Formats: sequence, structure tokens, C-alpha cells
Amino acid sequence: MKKTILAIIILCCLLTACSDDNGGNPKVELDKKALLTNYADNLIIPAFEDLYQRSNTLSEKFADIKSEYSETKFNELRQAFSLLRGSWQFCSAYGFGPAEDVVLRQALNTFPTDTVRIKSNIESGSYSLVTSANFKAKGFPALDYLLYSGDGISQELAFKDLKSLQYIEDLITDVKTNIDYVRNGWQSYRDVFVSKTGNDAGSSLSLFINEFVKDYEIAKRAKVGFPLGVSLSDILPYHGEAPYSLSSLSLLNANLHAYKVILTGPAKNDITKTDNLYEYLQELSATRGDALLAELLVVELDESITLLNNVEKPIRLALEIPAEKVKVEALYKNLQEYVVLLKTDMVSAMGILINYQDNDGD
Amino acid sequence: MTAINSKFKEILFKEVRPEPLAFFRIVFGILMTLSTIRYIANGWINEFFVQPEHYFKYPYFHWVQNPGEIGVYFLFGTLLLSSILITIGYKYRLAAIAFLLSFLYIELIDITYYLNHYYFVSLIAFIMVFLPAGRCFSVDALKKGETESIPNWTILIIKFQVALVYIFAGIAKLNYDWLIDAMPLSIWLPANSHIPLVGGLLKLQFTAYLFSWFGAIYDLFIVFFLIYPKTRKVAYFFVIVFHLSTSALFNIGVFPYVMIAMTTIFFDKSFQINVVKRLKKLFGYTTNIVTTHSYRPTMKSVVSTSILIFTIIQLTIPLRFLLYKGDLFWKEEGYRFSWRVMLMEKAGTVFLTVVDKDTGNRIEIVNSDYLTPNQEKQMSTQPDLILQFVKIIEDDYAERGISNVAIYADSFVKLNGDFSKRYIDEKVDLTKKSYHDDLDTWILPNN
Repeated sequence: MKKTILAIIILCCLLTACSDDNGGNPKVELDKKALLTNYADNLIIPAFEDLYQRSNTLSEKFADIKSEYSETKFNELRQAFSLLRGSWQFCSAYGFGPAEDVVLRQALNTFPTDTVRIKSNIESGSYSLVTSANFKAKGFPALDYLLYSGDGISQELAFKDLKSLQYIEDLITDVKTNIDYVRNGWQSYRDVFVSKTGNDAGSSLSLFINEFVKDYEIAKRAKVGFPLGVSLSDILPYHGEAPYSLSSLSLLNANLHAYKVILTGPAKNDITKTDNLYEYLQELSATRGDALLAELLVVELDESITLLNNVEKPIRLALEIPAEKVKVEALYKNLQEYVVLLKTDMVSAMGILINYQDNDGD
Repeated sequence: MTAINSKFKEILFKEVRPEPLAFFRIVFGILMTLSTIRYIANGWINEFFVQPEHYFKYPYFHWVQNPGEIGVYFLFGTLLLSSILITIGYKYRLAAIAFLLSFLYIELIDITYYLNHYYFVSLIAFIMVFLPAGRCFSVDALKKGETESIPNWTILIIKFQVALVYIFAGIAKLNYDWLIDAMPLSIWLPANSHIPLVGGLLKLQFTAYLFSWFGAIYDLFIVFFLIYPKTRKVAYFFVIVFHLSTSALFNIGVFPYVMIAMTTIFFDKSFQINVVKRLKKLFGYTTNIVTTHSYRPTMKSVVSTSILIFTIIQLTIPLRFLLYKGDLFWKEEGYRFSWRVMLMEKAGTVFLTVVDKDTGNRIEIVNSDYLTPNQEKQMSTQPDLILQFVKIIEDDYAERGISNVAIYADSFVKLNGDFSKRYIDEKVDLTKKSYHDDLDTWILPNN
């Protein structure tokens, strides 16, 4: 009796497997450990290393200008700041591990910045930048305001004002402290990251993908949605990223390219292994019509980059010009549609869990 | 008819040894104690019942409110204490009632955390309230004396409940996706490719088919092999292997252990009698035997009628989906409380837009401003939760003085191997919809 049942089971399975065209081995050997190693060593750690180097440069440039102000030095400081912030766009998606310890994204890039609070902080001279209440008065957005809001004359005045100078110094030190922590943290976290190869909520792939999706949603909303007024109905030009330096377009462009590199994988690739998301997703072979999910993810992201490139003025200014605003709206719509691809199609196809809660049993 | 009736009653009220029920009580008590401790240790009380600002309600239980932080801790305290009391059999009846009520209360706070195995535990806990499980090898029996026999129905009803779970779970697997496409296992198994030794096998399409078919056959027939004495041992070996492997592969918590423990009810009574005897010796447990009177005829009728009603309800609820038309997995009408487990990989995205009808302003909702990640995930694919979320938003805006609103959804759902598709008709003002409306008036077909 038992044997008969067992025989039937095996027979059924063999029959169904044979009758199915997709049966058999997957195309490439899927290797999560290789994927995690590749991303850690060739993408994430280098990104934080670059961020770290650029934050050092910013500190040096500030030390220069602190000793003696000159317009050249001021421009160098701005340049160093701009490069640091550009570098950040390639790190923002990695909000897990050491970055989670110091809530790096919020610590570095909470915007809109609170200019009233910045002024009162400078005025009072007593503030603690580590308190969450001051997250809105520090980081890149605060520096954006302090380094770009005025004209040349007031800049010079600001650097002669000891209180302002102290505040800028404290902001730069705070940025650097956080970046140092994360950069150094990855030296030991790297092995942990590479070893957690599961698909449960605590696994590296799950953390990585969830933070990626979360960062994408925040970028979509904060960099385009809020200024466009999707949450309040009125345009809020100063609510976007970098409204004073007017560098919103190049930053978002860098950000979208950073996402694309996550999908297509670092340039250094071991062609003998499935070690990037694109290959991994290709193997999962989910399709819309004839298009593979992996391809769609890249094509649609490229479409957003194209739509972004169509916008001719920085977002703050573009919102005031009807013809340009329409382009920002088109960009937002595309970014919004992309959430479905990332959050629903990609995550679900990968069988990744987003939380620790138990699922329904067998 | 009278003959059947009297035969029925004869089976139900036959006097049997009490050890199997005592053994079941102890196993259930230990399991519930451990799983309550696990729940608390995972920090889930705070995460699920303190942190959220809003809670999704069960149909017909909208009136159940979160009792607040202290209240929730009190409920879990009661749960833990009553689990321990059930295990040792101290003030058993009271403990069983306290367990049932606190468990139900916790369950009913938020439907986000609905799981079939919690429903199963609720049903077992409900049954346990009526069983004389505290009259053998218990603190109660130590004081009042130990019963020599219990009526047979007390064992049969547990067997019935366990059998029902398996068989309905098996029937639910007899669908196209599961058998022909090997979905969702084709997604879930390769995701486990990191597991040593078997990882490579899990990536194979063949393995997904093997697991799907074996799972369906296992669920459908395991109970019969457990009942039949000659196959029982092998069948229980399969129970252990099957549930331990699902426990290793899927994030399904204590459920596998619940089933491994509960299926012991099918063992020959000599096993439990033997175990209880040894345990008694171990603890130096001695007590005097008391004999109880069997039921009066009227009581027999009350009990047998109640059992009949209970079994009919249990057989009907999982079949209620037949009353609804349309795609069960897509619309989920009659999906819950039906032992449909592991049947689908479903995910979705919902963007809600509030339109202030007085000003024409459009406001896009950020779901995470209102919901936890767990809640958002569950809400995105379940029509009744989407409407509850719409109501939460509507109330929130009314509180801010914007009461004349329409709410529209831009929503996509992905089911098993398919690509995401638009889920809700984006032209429908969802504030005008209630769950009693025909879902087809706002949920788009799955095609």
C-alpha cells in the first residue's frame, strides 16, 4: 500500500516535470554568496570609501578657508561639498548595517532644511547636532543653505562671523563623523553581509533590496513629489533637494544612475557566476508580454533618466514655468509607476521577505 | 434514523481511558507556553500592538479595540499564565476559558496578523474549554481524585478538527497554479538556494513539482494513514519529516511544531497511557481514582447535538467560497478560515489620492504615514483592508476639516508567476464603496 502510494507520487512528479518545457536546470548557476560578495566588494564598500575621501577633502577645504577667507578658497569649498554630495547619491540606498546604526540618510540628507532653526542655532550657539530635533538643521541641506543662499558679499561676512563659521564647522564635523562610522563599520560588517545568504527578513539580500526600494521611494517622493505638491497640492519649490545650490537635477541624475548600477551590477563582474541582480532576475524569468522583468527594470529606469534630462531648469525653478512643470510631472509619473516594478514585481519574484512576522503554515 | 442516532451516541459516549486527553492537554499547554514566550521575546507585542497607529479589523468584530499598552501586556500575561495552568492542570476549566478569551482578544485586534494556524489554535482552545482534560494527571486531579474514564467524543472531536485542517488544506491545493504550474513553490524554493546540501536541488523546477504534488497528496491522505494502525508509525515519521522540512524552508513560525504535536492524538491509547504512567512515576504522582457517572440522557442529546452543529459549521465555513463568483485568489472572497495555506505569492502596491471636492486639490497619500510595513503589505492585496484604509484616510481628513473628499486608488497586484496587473478601477471613488458591495464594481478582473 505504502509502496503503491510512493510509486504514484514519484510517477506523478516525473510526468509533470517531463511534460514541462521549463523543467531541468536553470541557465546559470545561481550564487547568492557570489552576488553579495560582488556587491559588497565592488559597489558598496568603494561607494562609502569614495564618500569618505570626499568628506576628508571637504574638511581640508574648510580648514583652509577658516584660516583665511578668499573667494578662490570659497569656490573650492563649494566644489568639495558638491562632489561629496554627488558621491552620497551612490550610497543612499545602502541604509542597512553600519548606516542603520547612525540612521545615515536622515543624518546627512533630511530636507527641506529648517532655516529658522539654523539661524536660531547659530544665534544661540548652543545646540546638539546629534538630537533628532536638529536633523532638519544639519547635513547637506543645511550646508546647501549656508553655502549657497547668499551672494558673494554675505558669504564673506558669514565666514567672518565666528558663530556662523563655528556652525559650518560643526556641520562638517558631524557629516564626517557619521561617514567615518559607516565607512569603518563596513570593514567588519562586510563578512557578516556576505555570510547571511538566506531569504528571511534578516538576510543580506532582503536588507539590501528592502533598503533599495525604500530609498527609491523616498527619493521619488522627497526629490520630486513634495516640491511638485503631490502631498499638499501646492508646489513647494524649496522642499526639494538642493534648492539653494540649484543642483537638484544633477543629484537626481546621479541617484538614478546609482539605482541602475544596483540593478545591472558593478562593472567588475565574474562572468562565470550569477553575481548581479540583472542576471539573477533574468533567471527568475518573470515576463510582461515578451519583456523580461530584468530588462523592464533597466528600460523603465532609463526612461526616467531621459525624462529627467528633458527638464531644462533645476526643479525649484522648473516648477514655476508651466512648460517645465509638465516635464517634472511626467517624470514623477514615471518614477511612480516604477515603484510597482520594484516593490511588487521584483521583490515578489525574488521571494524576499520584508518582515519577521510568521507566514501562513503548510 | 433512531438506529443511526443511537449508534452515533454509543460511539460518542463510550467510556475511554483519560490519559490520551491528559497527554494532549500537556502537549498543548507546553506548546502554547513556548510560543507565547517566543512571541514576547521577538518583541512582537510592541511592534504589532503598541507601535501601530491604526488597526485593521475583522469582519463583524469592528468593535474590538486595542486595549492599550498595559492592556495588551495584561492579555499576554494572561495567555502565558493560562498556558502554564493548562499544562499542569491547575484550575483547568478556568485556565482554558482565560486562554481562549485572551487568545481571541489578541487575534481580533488586527487582522493583519491573521494566520490559519492561529485560527486552528483558537478552535482547539474553544474545544478544550468543554473537555474534561483536567481530570487526569493534573494538579486538579491530585486534589479531587482522578477520573477513571472520559467519554469518547472528547478525543474524537480533536481528531476531527486536526483531520479537517489537513484534508481541506489538501483540497485547496487541487488547483491549476499549484499542480500544473507548481506555483508558488517555484518562486519560494529557489529563494532558499543558500541552504547547504539541498540548496542546489531547490533551484530545480522538478523540485517545485515534487514538493507541490507531494504536499497535496500528503495533506489529503495523511490523516487516513494515521488512523489506520498498520501505517500509523510510518505516517507519523512522514509527519515529522514533512513539517520539519517546511519549517526549515519557510518562515512559518511554530505551525509545524503545532501539527507534529497535535497529530499525536491519533496514536494508539497505549502510547499515552504508558507515557503518563512513566511521568507519574517520575513526579511521584499518586492520587485516588474516582468514578464519574455517565451523562443523563438529556445531557447526551445536548452534547451530541452541539457536536453535530459544530462539525457542520466546520465543514461549511471552508466551502463558503463557492457562494462567490470570480477568482478566489485574486479577490479573496471566502479565502480566510478555510485552511488555504501557502497557496499564493501575492504582492501589491497601492497609491491613494485624496481629492478635496470643495477645492479640487489632489493629495497623494504616503501609506507609511499611517501603516506599518506589515500592515501595508497585507492591505495592498486584500480588498476589505483597502476599504478599511480608505476609511482611515477619510476620517483623518475629516478631522483636519476636509470632509468632502473622494479617494481614488492607483493599485497593482502580482499573483504567483504573473506580472503585476491593475487591481482597482482607478475611476471609482472608494469612499462610496463598502465591503458589502459587489467587488466587481471596483476590483478589476484578473486577466
